[in-house]
Amino acid sequence: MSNINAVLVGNPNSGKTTLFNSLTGAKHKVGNWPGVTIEKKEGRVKHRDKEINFVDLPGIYSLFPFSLEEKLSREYILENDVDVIVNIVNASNLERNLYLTLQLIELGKPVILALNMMDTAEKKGLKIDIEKISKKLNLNVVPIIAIKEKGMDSLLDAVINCKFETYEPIEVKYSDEIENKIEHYQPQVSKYNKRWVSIKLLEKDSVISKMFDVETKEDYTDDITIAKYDFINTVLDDALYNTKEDHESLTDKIDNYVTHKYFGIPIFLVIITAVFFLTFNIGNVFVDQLDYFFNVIVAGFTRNFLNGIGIANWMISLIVDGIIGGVGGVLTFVPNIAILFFFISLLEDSGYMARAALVMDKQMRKIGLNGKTFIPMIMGFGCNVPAIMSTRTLQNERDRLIAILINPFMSCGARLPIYILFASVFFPGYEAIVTLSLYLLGILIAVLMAFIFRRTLFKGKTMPFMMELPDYHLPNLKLLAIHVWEKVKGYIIKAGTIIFAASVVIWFVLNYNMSGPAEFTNSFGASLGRAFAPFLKPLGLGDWRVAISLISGIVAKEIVVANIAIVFGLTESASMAQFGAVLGQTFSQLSAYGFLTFVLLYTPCIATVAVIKRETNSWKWTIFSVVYQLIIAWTVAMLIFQVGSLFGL
Amino acid sequence: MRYGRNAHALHDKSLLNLEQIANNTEVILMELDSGKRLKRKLQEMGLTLGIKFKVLNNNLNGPVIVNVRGSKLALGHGMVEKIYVKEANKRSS
Repeated sequence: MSNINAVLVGNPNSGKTTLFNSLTGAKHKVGNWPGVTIEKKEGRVKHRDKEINFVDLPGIYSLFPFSLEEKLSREYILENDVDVIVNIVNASNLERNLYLTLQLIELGKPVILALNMMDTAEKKGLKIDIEKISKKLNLNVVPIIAIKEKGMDSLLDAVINCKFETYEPIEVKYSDEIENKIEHYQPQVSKYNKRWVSIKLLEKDSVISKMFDVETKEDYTDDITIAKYDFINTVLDDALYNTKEDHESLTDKIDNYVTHKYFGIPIFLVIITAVFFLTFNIGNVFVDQLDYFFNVIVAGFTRNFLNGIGIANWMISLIVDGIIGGVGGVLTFVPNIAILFFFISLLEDSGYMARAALVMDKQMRKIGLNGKTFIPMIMGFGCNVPAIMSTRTLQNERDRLIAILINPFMSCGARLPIYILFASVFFPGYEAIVTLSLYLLGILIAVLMAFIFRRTLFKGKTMPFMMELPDYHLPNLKLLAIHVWEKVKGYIIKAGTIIFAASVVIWFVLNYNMSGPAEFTNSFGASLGRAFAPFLKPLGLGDWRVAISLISGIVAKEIVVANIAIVFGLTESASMAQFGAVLGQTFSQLSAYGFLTFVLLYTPCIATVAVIKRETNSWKWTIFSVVYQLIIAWTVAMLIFQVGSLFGL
Repeated sequence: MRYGRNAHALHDKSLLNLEQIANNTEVILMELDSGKRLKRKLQEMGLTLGIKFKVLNNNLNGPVIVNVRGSKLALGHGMVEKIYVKEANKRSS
């Protein structure tokens, strides 16, 4: 056998993603599991003369199908050609981690134990006798430190040297009563590991019961779970020594402040505000340079070059104004997006995110949601698409629907360029404050809508939450970079595909009408913009060029900036000053702010609508989401303009 | 011994629920008075009947942080009231 199929399984917070990235580098494929939106990662590793195909299964605590992740992981291992299961466990938390290990062993396929975070375990004063664990569980145990990429070779050696054919899983012995029942059911089982299926039947696992059409009377779940933990304790009694009983770890010390009754929320607010200002301030250093690069250097060079080889003027216009203007306008904001994703990943990887959910739980419960709902909300600041996907961690369907419906109000990175542009033009010196106010307005509307939804459409209590609080650790910069690169890559690909296509379409719409090439003011786009302009008049945004920009924003919010440049006739070398001169004729400070609130709140981009459809699996909710956001955006922007006008702003 | 969702079969009135436990107290899990799913989930996370564990932080006016089998868990409001324990160091009469 030259190709080995391995799956990576482990608890959340066991360092599974870190291990996967350490093993496969940035070379892995990220996709989706068929039919569901859980991320699927696959990577190939060449080791010695073998090729190992790694599949990263979702982080799970158990193989009992509570959640989609657990169901999916179990099905994958059972139904696919899996040669070996690499089970990563957190060495500083063996007792709980080995529970999943025992479940994996019961499946009957070869298991290798990757004992991760050996350094943390040592610091905690834990001494682990690897030999003994290996002997008692009859499997290969490899100590690793995934974050420092230590032990990778030994782990890969273990995978290629695994004796697949002769592997004999150990058996956890249950009480005589249960063992008798297992004996009784085994003959009725036609596939998988017979002992495992029988145990599942005794745990009243509905999926397995249905599959084999066997219904057991009693439910032995409690006894089986306790027996597994008792077995773990007999293993660890001999193999694990704690040399520093009851000492307060660094994590505990940090948690004393971070989850403090009074300090918890202020600390959280300081962190979020810092992230926000850093994203804005560091990002902008690059933005101006990239802007100059695309709009002056690239556009100028291309125009001269194309002129030189005698290309038709309309073609030059398409390439320079349409494509370079559109795609370049979007790529200009890559630094902001990268920095934002960097901080979100940092919060997640360091272990802080779980604490944020915890300290916000009380506040979130007031609006009828639980603290866990807060994590997708923060992720929404990066991009609403993965944020909406991450609502899967909420087990209650109503909680999830609310979380999905309010998520687009969390201002994503793609909206940031529009804020930056308008804030620099209309509120120079106050860019950060104007932008922050929009983020806060988004949160406010999200909270308000959640409150209303909970009392109207989705009555009922929120699901109580249970969350593990992982030990804090310093993330590995290289692995963090891989993480950020995955996200930024997605953004750049979007610029190269959707936005590229949209730029061409918009250029065409703005340069043609029924009778062929036309002046801008007589183009298709102008007609479309004029048709929608009256609708925006009460917002002080009656200019058809604003309408067409907003319509184009439904493709992707980044396009609004590119499109504004195009429709206001600012292409090549538009500087902020030129933007200011032109936009100042159409917008007042008040209507500019109203415009930004509209951009913040209105119908999200196509990608978000698509993910809402996929996640709710309902056209009804998808259409509802699009329409209600449009209504809210219109109402809020209208109120700002009308009330502001009354006060003579 | 098994208790269903509505059994409320609290034989021992001296039991406390987790909400009533002060910080840094060691307790023994006596009953899980919740639905089947939640009960199963709690047990899989290590909160099996009879286990001794420690309440770390019960100041948050909602979630309670516990240390069970070496891992830190935050248990939300709506769950903590259903977890019945007795203090480990007090001898029951």
